[in-house]
Amino acid sequence: MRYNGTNNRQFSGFPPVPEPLPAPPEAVWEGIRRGMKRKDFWRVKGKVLATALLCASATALFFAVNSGRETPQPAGTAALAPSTTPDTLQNVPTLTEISEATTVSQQSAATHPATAAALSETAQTKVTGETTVIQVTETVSETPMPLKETPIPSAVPADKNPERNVKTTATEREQKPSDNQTPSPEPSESVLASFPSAFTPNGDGLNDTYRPVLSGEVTQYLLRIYNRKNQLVFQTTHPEESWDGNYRGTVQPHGAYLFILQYTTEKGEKKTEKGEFLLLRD
Amino acid sequence: MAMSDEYLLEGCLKHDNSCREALYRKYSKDLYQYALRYASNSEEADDVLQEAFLLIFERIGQFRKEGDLLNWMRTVVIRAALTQYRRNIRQWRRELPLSEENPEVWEEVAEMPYNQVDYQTLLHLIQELPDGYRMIFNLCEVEGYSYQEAAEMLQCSQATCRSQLMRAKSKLRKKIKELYDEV
Repeated sequence: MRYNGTNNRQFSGFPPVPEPLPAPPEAVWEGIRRGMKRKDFWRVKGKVLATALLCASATALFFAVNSGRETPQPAGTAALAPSTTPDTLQNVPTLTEISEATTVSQQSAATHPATAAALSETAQTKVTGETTVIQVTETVSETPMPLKETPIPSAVPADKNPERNVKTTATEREQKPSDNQTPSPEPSESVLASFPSAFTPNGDGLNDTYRPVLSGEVTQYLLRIYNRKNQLVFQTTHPEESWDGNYRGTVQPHGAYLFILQYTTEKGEKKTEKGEFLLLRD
Repeated sequence: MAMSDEYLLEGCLKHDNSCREALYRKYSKDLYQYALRYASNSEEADDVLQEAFLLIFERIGQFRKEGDLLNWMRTVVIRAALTQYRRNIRQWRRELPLSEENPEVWEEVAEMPYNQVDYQTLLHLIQELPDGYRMIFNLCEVEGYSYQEAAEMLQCSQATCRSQLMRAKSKLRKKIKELYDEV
C-alpha cells in the first residue's frame, strides 16, 4: 500500500490549536527506546557473531596467560576473578602515597591511582623476573618514602577489598607494559576513558546502567562486556549507549564482568582498554 | 537548541540513539496531535505514537531526502493509526468495518461548525465518533486524501467512503450542536 499524502494541505477548518502543544507522556519514549534497543541488539548481533566468538576465545587465552604469570599471593587476593593484573590494580588506593613521591608520574597522565597502578604492576612483574622493570624500581628507591620494593607485593593483598567508588583510569594501566623501557611523556590531550568500578541496576535511578566515560571525541568505538562464562552480554559501537545489566532479556547475576573497549581518538590513536567491574544486586 | 532535520536524519540513519531522541523531542508533540485525532482515547494515541516512531526509526532509510521529513513522519503516524484501527476491528470488534451500503439521502452538510467549540473539545468529539467514521473523517476531510486513496487504505469501496464521510460529518455536526446548545 503506497500513499504519501498526495494532498498535503493544511486543514484550516479546525479551531486554533492550543500553544504550547501538550507533550506525549514520557512512557511513550521509554517504550520506543526499549523497542529500538531490542532491534539494534539483534541487528548488531547478527553481524558480529563470528567476531564475538573470536573475542571470547581471545579473552579466555588472555585469562589463561595472565593466571600463569600471577605472583604468589595470599589466597584472599583472588576473590574477584582469576587473578590478573586488573584485579590487583583495584588495590590501588594504598599506594597513593608512593605515587605522589615518585617521579614515575611523568609516565602517566598524572592520576594518582594510575601511577600507583604502574608501580604495583611493575612490582608484580619484577617478582616474576622481568628485567624491564628495573628502571622503575630504581626511581622508587630514590623517593624519600622509606619503602622498598618487596613490601609492595605484600601491601597489595592487605587492601584487598575493591573500593567501589573509585574510578580507575584504565588508560595508564594499559600503557604501562609498553612504557617500561623509557618513561616517555604522554601527549597531554589524549582521550581518557574512565570506567566505573561498579553499577547497581535496581531501578533507583542511581548508577542503573554501565558505561565508560570518555573525556574526548572518538571516531571509532567498540565496547564489549563479557560475563564470567565468557559470554558476550553487551556490545555497542555508540559511546552513549550503556548496559542495563540484562542479557537476552534475563537479568545478569551479581558479580564481576569484563569490559573490553576499543576506540580511536580524533588523532587516529587506537586504544584498547580492558578491565573489570561489578554488577551489584541486593 | 533545534538541530536541523538533515543532521538528525543522518544520525538516525546511523542508528545513533541521541539523534533519535532529539528527533523524537523535536516532533513528538506535533505527531502526538495526529495520533490523538486518529485514536479513540489518549492511551490508544500513546500506542499509536510509539508504534509510529518505531516504524520511523526502522524505516528511515526509505525516506527520500528531497521530501519533507515532518510530512513523511505524519504519513507513518497515519499508517500506524490504520494498523491500530484494523487491530481494533479484528480483536475487539469495536466497530464493524465500513460496510457496503447504499447511501440513502446524502444529507447536505453545509458548514461544519468547528469554530463553535475549542480545539480540545473538538478533539474529544472526534475521538467519540465510531472508529470507521473517525477514520474516514480524518483521512478525507482533514488530510485531504481522495476517496480512492481512502478506499485503498480502509479496504472498502469508494462509494462507502463517500457515504460514510457524509454520515461522519453529520454526526460530528450534531454532537457540536448539542454541546453548543447546552452552553
